Amino acid sequence: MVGIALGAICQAGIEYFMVKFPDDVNTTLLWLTGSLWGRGWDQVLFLLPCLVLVPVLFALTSKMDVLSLGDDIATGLGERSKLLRYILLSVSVILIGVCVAAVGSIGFIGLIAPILPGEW
Amino acid sequence: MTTLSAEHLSLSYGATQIIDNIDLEIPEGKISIIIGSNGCGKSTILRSLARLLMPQQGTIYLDGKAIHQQSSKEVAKKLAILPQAPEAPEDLTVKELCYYGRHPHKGLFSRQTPEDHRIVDRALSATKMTEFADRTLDALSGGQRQRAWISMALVQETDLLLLDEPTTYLDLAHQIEILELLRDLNVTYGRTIVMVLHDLNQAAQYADHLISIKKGKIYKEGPPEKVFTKEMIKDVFRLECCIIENPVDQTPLCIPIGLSQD
Repeated sequence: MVGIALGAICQAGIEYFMVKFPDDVNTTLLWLTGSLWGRGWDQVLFLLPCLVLVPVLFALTSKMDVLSLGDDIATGLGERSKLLRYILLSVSVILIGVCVAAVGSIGFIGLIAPILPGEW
Repeated sequence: MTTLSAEHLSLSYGATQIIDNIDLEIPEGKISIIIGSNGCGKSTILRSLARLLMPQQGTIYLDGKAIHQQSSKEVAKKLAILPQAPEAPEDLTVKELCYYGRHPHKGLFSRQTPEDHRIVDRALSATKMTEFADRTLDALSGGQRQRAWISMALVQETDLLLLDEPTTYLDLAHQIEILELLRDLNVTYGRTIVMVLHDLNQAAQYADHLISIKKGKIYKEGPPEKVFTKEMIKDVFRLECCIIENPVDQTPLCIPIGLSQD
């Protein structure tokens, strides 16, 4: 429910910009579909600082595993479940946010991404 | 040995007061069993003792220090908790689950050591789960799964082991199997065990220390012979019964007669 509500608000924001700046509608549509077209080193440089967060995520992998046993067990095993959840969520939101800002929302990556690391 | 106690403990869920100002001391190296009717707050007490629930008032002491002021990791080296009906990712094997028990002893990047392997193997043999080590949890029976979880708690190598209704959903033979295992862990390895049990007669049979809870207060605590009386069962469970001596091990045994009228 919260997801749907948030999605609707963001959708409204996007539509506001489309109506307000009709001249740039083409760029907006391209970004909405998600595309690597015309993306270059400018965007890479913009993404670079966020790479710092990737090792952070790797360092937290064992904690993520523990969290998959549920909050109670994770606490029992010495994690601060709530805090850990917030940290993981923040790091993920930042990383995904900058990616989408750079190349738009390329479909189906969201479906594939969680499975890929699981295979390793 | 590690000591666990609570002082002036009050617990609540939202605005509902569950436990009202109790003092509790868990005897070291013994099996303590908490009993009480449904909704009296026995699981709540256990959860708060394991710092899964913040007390509204009062303090839990682990080794004389307030449990909420110690780092969760340090607590996890002294106290293991097995919540009621825990769930795990379905493709997890028993052995993998056990290695999670080493988590509090590990740093961010440390790998499994031969010492870890020894500890896991020892836990699996203590719970007689060695032959199922590579099975996934969803391919186990209820009793085996519970033993797998207990193995994980053992791998944590804590003096204190807390269990919330470890025999729920098991048939009688498997209930006894779990209780015998816990008694064995207590006698052989000297672990202090605290658990919540539903079955009164099993509680009387396996407890060294019995704690009966009524409406958020401790009704009576002590050895089963002292606590497990006709009056206690009438007051706490509203059940008329007669108490006889268990011919096998001379512990008290409750024969229910019917619901109490008053």
